[in-house]
Amino acid sequence: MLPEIPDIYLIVTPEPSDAFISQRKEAIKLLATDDAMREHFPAWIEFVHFGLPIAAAETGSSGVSAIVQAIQAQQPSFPTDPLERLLDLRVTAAVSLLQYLVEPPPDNGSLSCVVSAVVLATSKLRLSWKEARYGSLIHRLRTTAQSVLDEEAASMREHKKRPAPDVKGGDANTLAASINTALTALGRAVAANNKVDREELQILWWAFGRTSSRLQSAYADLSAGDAAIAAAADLANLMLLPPIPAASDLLRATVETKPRLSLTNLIAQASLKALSLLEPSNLKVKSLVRQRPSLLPLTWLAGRLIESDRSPWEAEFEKVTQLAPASEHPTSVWAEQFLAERVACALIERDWKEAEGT
Amino acid sequence: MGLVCTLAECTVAHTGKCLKSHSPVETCPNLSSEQGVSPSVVATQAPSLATTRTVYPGHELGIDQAEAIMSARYSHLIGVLGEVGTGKTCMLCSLYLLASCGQLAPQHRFAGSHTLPGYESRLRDYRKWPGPLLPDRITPHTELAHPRTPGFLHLALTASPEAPHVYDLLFTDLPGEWTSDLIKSARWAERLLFLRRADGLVLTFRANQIADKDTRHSQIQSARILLQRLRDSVGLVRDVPVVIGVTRCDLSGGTLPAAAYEIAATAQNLGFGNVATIAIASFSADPKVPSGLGLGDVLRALLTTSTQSLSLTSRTRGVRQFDIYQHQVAGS
Repeated sequence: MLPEIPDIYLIVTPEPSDAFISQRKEAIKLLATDDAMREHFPAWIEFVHFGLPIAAAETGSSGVSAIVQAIQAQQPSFPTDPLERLLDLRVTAAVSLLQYLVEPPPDNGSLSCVVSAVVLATSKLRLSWKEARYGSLIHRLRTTAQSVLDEEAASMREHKKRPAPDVKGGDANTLAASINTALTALGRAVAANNKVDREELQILWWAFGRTSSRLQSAYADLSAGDAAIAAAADLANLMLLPPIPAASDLLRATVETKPRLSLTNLIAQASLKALSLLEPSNLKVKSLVRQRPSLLPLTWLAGRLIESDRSPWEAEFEKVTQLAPASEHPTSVWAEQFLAERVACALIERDWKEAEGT
Repeated sequence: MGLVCTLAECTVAHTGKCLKSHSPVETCPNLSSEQGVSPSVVATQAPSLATTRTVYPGHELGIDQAEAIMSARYSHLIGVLGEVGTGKTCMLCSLYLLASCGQLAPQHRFAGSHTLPGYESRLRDYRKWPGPLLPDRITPHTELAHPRTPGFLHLALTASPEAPHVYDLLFTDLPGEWTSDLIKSARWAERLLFLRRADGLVLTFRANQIADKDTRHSQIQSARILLQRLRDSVGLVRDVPVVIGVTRCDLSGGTLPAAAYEIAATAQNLGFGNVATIAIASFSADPKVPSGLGLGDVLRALLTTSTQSLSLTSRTRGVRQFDIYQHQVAGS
């Protein structure tokens, strides 16, 4: 268990008792499991960042109720109405996510990477918090998520040792099976190493070429909107995921000549062809984005603009994502957000496919 | 003998688990071991005095009541420390009056308080004083019903209409003796441990005391010891905003004595990274100095926004090497 849990709960009470802390720890144990996380992580990430107003539909359903139930298992008198102890529930959700990322259960597959990618995509554009201590907790969640992705990125790019063939067998059948296993292992190691080498080459060519293969144009000749979207989509397509930490630097270098502008202006300069690069191909991911626009806000916006043929979107966007379309950022920051969302979509899709065994 | 709780919503009788998380449950002050008391009777009984140190509801909040607010929504807990007679309670009452009269607008507007009777009772003397001059003491000396439990005054403020946000502020209202005791001995730090949660700290000093050459050095020395003990014995977080509030600045024409900056420098030397020095005149005796001077600045200093670091300019080692390589290729 995270040693700083008592300090974190100072947000909720100035003098947390030992009993209070042990009850919350037990609840977090129930919540930071693979099953609970797979079922509820989108709801929890949304709840942690926005509370109930945006996730009002959640009050009576599984996401927030699961947290209430986990606490009630230790403390039956805990109120069922989430509004009564809203901050307590949000802190518990945040600590459960943090606990899962810091100490993931063994053999959890890529779920911790998926959770990390969604945390980063959700919080990247939300830079300031009026609640200093809660802001620090979110910041801690963000930095932990970033390090989970960086560690995974580093480990998947390590060149695998080619296994020495271990061929044994008294008869022909056993010998054949043994050779088959040895060759399969060798083949996998060679393929993995080839993937890593190929990625390095592709990225090098992309970084030098500074041309979008999808939009068939140099990034310098594209508008800021098209360049930011295309660069992020191209990079996410070429890189093994999760991307290396330097991916955002490469992205910045690609769009560094583009101006600082608001989302309204950025989108005004983006073509439908570029926006379509952001659309998830998987229907389940598409549906997640529609249900929870605040998690992957720019992906939601791209889908909304394509569907409605660019009808006015600002008011609706602000309402569902709590991001102001008039806030200005350098184009590189928008490009990084596009990349974070592309990475999150791809990892969710991959994880769901793995979970379904396809 | 069955366990019965005086709190209507507690289910200890059925589950054996305490609503207030006391462990073992027998240590809960709300517990009654009387047999044959029906829950309806229990629910209508007045809570025992031990459950809260507030004798008159609404005058101030104890830890339990503060926790009820804090666990529902984020509350900014502001510690206000200073020796006896340095104007802590006056400052809070002046802030309340400014807020309720709309004089913090447009930045902040009054949005309610759970301790309205508390502010009003503290201001009773102010509303009654006779004659043209201010009385020596506007608010009564703060005394605690429970000597080891802090009391809080609540004030909710809305931020500017462009970025609507309600700040729930919980100010400590502690007797000056708590600060004096901590300066005398670190063993008194235990009762101030709740300040580890503080979102901001205001240390009050009287302008005439830190300006006077006879008392200046002892005031600075006391401030240094206080800050050191808050850091080391209480465990105050160092990035918490600290306001050096110099009260009765109406006596110095609204200007800050030089010693105030020495105290701020001491705080910075002790590692506090967010220190502001502000001249305060809660109730001014000088017509040239407005009452409530500096209180808007105190709020601004305390309600700093937590900004996550976004290193837009940092370049990683890998990409720097790539830049060098690219430069070499371009040059060759």
